[in-house]
Amino acid sequence: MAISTFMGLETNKRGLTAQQTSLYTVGHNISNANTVGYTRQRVNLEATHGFPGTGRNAPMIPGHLGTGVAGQSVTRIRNEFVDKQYRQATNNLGYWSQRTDAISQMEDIMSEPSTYGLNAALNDFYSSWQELANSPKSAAARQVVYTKASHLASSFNYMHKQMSQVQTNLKYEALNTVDKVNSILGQIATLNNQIKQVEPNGYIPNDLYDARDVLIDELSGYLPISTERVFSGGLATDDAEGALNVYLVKADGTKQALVSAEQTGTQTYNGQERNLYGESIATKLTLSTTGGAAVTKSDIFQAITGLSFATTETVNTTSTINGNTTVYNDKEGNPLYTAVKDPATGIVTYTDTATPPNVFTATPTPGTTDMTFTNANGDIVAKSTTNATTGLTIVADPAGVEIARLSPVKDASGNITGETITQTITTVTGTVDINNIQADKGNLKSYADTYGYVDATGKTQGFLHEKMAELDKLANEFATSFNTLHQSGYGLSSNGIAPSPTGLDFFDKIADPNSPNALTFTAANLKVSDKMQDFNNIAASTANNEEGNGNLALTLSNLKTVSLAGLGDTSAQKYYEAMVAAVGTEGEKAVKEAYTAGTVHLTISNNRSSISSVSLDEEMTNMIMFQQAYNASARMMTAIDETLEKIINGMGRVGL
Amino acid sequence: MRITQSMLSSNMLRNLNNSYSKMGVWQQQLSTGSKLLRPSDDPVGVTKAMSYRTQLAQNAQYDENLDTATKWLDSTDTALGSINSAMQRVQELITQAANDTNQTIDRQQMLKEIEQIYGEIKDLGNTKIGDMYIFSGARTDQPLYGESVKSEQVLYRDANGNVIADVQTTTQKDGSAITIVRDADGNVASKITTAKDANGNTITTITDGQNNVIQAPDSGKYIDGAGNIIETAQDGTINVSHAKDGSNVISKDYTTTRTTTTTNYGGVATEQRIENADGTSITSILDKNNKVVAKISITKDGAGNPVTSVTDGSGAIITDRILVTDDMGGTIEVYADGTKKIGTLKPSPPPTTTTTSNGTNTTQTDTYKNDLGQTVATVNTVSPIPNDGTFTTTIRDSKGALVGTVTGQKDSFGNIVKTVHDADGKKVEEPNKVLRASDGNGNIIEVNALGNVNVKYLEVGQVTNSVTDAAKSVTVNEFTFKDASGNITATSETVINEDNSTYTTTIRDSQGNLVSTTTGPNPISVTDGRNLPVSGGVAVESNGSIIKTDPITGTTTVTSMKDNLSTSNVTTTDGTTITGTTTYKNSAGDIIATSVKKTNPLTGKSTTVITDKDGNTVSTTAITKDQAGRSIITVTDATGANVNAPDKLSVVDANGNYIITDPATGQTSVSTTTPAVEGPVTSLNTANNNLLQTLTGMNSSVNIEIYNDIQLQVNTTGAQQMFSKLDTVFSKVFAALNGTGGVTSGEDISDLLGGTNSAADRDFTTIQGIQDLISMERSTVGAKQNRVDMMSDRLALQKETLTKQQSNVEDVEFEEAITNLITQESIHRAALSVGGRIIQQTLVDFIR
Repeated sequence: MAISTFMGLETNKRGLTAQQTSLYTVGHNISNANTVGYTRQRVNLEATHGFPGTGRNAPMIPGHLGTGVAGQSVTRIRNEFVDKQYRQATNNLGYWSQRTDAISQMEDIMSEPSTYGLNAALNDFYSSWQELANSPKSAAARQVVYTKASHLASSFNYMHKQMSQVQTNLKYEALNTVDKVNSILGQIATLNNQIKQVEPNGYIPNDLYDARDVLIDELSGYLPISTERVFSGGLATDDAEGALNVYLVKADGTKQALVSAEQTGTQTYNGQERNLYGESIATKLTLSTTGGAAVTKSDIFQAITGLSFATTETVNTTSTINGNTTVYNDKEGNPLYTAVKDPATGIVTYTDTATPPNVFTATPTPGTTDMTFTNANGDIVAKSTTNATTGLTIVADPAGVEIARLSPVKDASGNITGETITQTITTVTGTVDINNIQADKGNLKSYADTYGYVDATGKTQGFLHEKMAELDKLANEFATSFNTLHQSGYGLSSNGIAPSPTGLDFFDKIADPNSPNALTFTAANLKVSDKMQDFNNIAASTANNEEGNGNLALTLSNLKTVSLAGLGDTSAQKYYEAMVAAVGTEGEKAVKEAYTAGTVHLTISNNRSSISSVSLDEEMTNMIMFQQAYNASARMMTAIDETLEKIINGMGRVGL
Repeated sequence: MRITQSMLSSNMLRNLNNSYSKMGVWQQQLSTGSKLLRPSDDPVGVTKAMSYRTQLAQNAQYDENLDTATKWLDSTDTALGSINSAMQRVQELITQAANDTNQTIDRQQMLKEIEQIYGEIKDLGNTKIGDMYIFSGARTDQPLYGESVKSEQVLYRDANGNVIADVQTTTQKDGSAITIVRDADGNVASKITTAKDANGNTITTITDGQNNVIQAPDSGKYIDGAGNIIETAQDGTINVSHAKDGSNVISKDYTTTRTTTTTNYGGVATEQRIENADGTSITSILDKNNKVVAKISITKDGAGNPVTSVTDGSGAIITDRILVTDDMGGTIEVYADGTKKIGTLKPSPPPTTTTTSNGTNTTQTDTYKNDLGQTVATVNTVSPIPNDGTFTTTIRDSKGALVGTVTGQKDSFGNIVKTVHDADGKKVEEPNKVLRASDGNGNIIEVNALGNVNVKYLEVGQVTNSVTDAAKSVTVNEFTFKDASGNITATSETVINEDNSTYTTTIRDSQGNLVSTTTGPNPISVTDGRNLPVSGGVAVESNGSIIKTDPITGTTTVTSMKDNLSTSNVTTTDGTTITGTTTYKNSAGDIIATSVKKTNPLTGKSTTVITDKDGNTVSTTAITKDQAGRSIITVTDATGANVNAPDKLSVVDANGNYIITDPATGQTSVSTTTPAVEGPVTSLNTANNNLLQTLTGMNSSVNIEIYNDIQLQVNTTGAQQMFSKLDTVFSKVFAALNGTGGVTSGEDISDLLGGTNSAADRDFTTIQGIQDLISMERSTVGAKQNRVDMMSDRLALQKETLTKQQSNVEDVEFEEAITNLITQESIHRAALSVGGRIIQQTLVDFIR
């Protein structure tokens, strides 16, 4: 038995092809050296089976002759474990960098220490009272008191306004982030489905994986997640990663599916039974507030209670018409509604299968094809309109949002036998309480923490919310105790004989249409009473008709150091100092944590790069390596060509 | 580990970012100078910085407060200093004015100056800082002395036009007022204060003279010494009734054994000497008209030594001598030591003249002698040689004491002008002035303004007749009638002879003139002032009172013309008890009160029972003696309860008649009352008469906080009191310098000076006292100034410390920051260049 004359050619052809594939992959790597999320790829070269193969008719030749090389597969060089670490680090960084931003904004609002913050306003305010005590009847001193007091009140107002602005912005950002998360989840689901279509054919869609990994990296900045590989079935190779189910990891360790697929069956692969799954579906996140309602973009503060998850799917069902009676079925074919049309009035009565049945009526609007659906209580629940030409009926809720479309089904002779009902069904798949989201993980948690959320005991918490409450408390205690003192004093009599004005409040509340009977002062509603615009009403004296008596002004200015029971026995200014210190401490912590998270993130990112990113030097080296191998294979081909030439043209010509 | 390009670049990026942000921080620190850019940079540091800023702001404010306090204290000190120097000038002026050598006109000039000073002090009281009056308490808008104060006076007068109540009301701008009600002597009867509470309601408070508040519903009733009643109701209305009639008697009863010696000195005088058994005596010297000229009483003091006192006819004590001459030249001269000269004045025979010369002057000596050849007077006339008509005459009495001088000097026309001076150098002027001197021996030298000398010698009167009665045991009742004002209207002396129970009552008027003598009891005979018997009784008008002696009963009734109240007295005895009955009647003759005094003349104990017109007992006055012989007076009212001084027992009957008994003296005065006539309202304000305002709050303090919770009172709350005392002092000064009736008294003026730690001094109402008060206020201010200075130093120190601490916390250490920045820059540059190299170097460069 002899070896094929042309076997060498084939062996070398394989070599050329394999080296060429490798060289092209190097090119692909170099091209994507700067592509975000790109993972370098390798061609896994494998020697082909030797000659002869096994079998009864296998020729017996000495040795087992090599037949060359083949590129078995092209895979990504990646370490899943590092990915996991990376995502955790991203998670932390996401939380702390967002918190740093929020507190930094808070610090900007407080602008302490400075010559124009609330502290300085309080200092100025108290000083102006001292000045008034020095010259109690001076209109100039009274003017200064009024101005400084107005400045103080507007400092409170300003801080409140700024803080609620920041709070509103945080809510917008949180809502945008949720949109972003939903978009990412949608993209992941799409990629999963693409991958699922490719993999059963034996392909490994590396670039789809990369795209998906980038999305998951991004997602991990927002929420703490975990992933799970799902076998694609078919001829999917071992290197195929399959679809990825994505889960939100809750604080109690349980998971909430974000991207998932339903199991559809099993397949035996390499002797193992594997589950097969259907289409990957992304859930839609909604930030929910008290009562489960969605957080909206209105400016009113709504504490975040958690996240709710829902999937939407488009379902087609059919109904059958039998005379005036139409039976509607669900997607499994079970009857859902029975509609009976009164031919005289055109009114349709819908009865469901519940016990007792719920009844709806649809009333036609005369002269049109429009119908109005009302429930048993007479409330309008939906409206429908039918296109006269196509017969397409669109049902919408009272707000005009489409609920379903009904298109007629006709038999061969053109009679309408039923309707195809196309409906988008939203299924709530779960809710996660905000307290069940891991602490200090991810952007979204940070938004809730800074914006305001409902804690496990049902109390509203949150950094900004607390600070605003503290500021309100400060404003209330300060203004209330100031007013109490001020009431006991006497202003300036208009002529020195008429009784001095007394018993007046110095601070007043700005009328708020939302709470016209506000009992307490808040940072938002604090203002200097309009009565004080008549400076004579500013009380500086402890006795009637004593224009030179500034003792009350002194007492008022000494409120600076007086401990207020409502503020935990500290003075207003100390309370504010403590507030600033608390913000500072929180800020300091956040900055440090963010820095640490950043450093850890970088280290892990470097680790990942070390494994997955493209090194040009390496690729160059590989290029030279593959190029030389290619050259060598080509030279080998020439050598074989020469031997063949010898056989064909040089053999048997001895003597010729 | 495999290193890739992207790792290098991301590492480098992060490092560069870090180094940028570090440089950014350093740079921001350098440009702001502060290392605390936000609370999170250093939460503790920020808290500290805030509290340092707060403290520094506070301290800066305290610094300003201290400036204000200093302004107040300095102004106060300056003003008080000025007031003090003004008062020193007043003191000088008053010291000068107190000297009686000053004529009234000089005092008027001083008054003018003091008035100016007063004005100046009022201006000082209105001292201002900016637009604040510093002495007006918390009423810094109001001048202390304001022109808006209204001061009015209402005088209440009795029927005779005498002032019995003076009501002065000072109304302040805010409607508050103080009304001071005074009696005729200036004692405060009541005060009515009208103030406003915080709601503007008027509150009226009345207080009595001792500043005790009279609680509603009582009204304040004040009765002065004359029985005038000033009643102040709770609503502030004043009701004044004056004692229309008033009477007051003193009765003294005793028993003694006496010897009466009557000596006649010619027709000049009669001497009645009553010598008691215990050696005391009363010598009455009567002139030829039986008028008492003098009474020489010899009593015994506590140690039993005789004490001599001489009184004149009206009972006034004589400190020098009494000289009485009658139309016949009869002379009675009684000296304070009891010696007397009685005789007749005779003109001196012509003098003997001797002339001597010493070459420049001629001296002519005229010697006047009496009938016994004793020198009565010498007159030396010295004239120059040659005689140009000028002379100096010196007149001396018998004892060589200077009587006067007469000088003759030429005027510008060459005429001789004679001037007479008395022994004190006072000028004796025409037309009426006659210099009269007595030498103590009864001789009299008269020099008239023309320089004529008239010498009379006393021819000592011979005792023509001296009768000494045998010693007899008598009981004496001395009775004194007084009018409502307490002035003596008449005296009565009843001497009852114990041996035969006859009595002699001698009635004299307030001047000592004999009115009547009554002897009795059987028969009662009355003689008049000339000792002539009268059958129709005696009635004499003396000094506005009518003294009447009833010829039948011998009762003497005294009716004051002014008061129309008649008081009658009769004294009887039963041998062991003297009964004196005094009846008070009004002008209509109705009895108002009756007083019956029963005296045991041996023990001196007496009981006086006073009954009203209906015979009800009003009061009982019992006088007993303690072991030392002192009188103990007990007054009980109708219920038998004791009345203790200083309260007076005052009983009023339905007709408004008052019977008032004073437990201090045991005397009872009886009066009838009628409402006083309320005078017109007189405004006391004059154009520039700024009066002290006493608005509410003018005593309040003005406080300035000089440190945490340390408040300093910067005004002088005593200012009101001080200025009101100043007002008092000045009004006293003005009163004394104006004098009464145009006559000023050096003594009164020097009393103003004070300085004797008297009650007035302690009340700060003398010049010394008020200066003490000013000094006190000033030293308080001084102490406060020291305090402010110390606090200022302390603040400065604290500021330094705080600033240092703040700087430590907040400020950038520039050296460090710059060094750090530069270092960071170098690192950044190095990182850039190294990074640039590494990233550039790839294999690509080497593959050609």
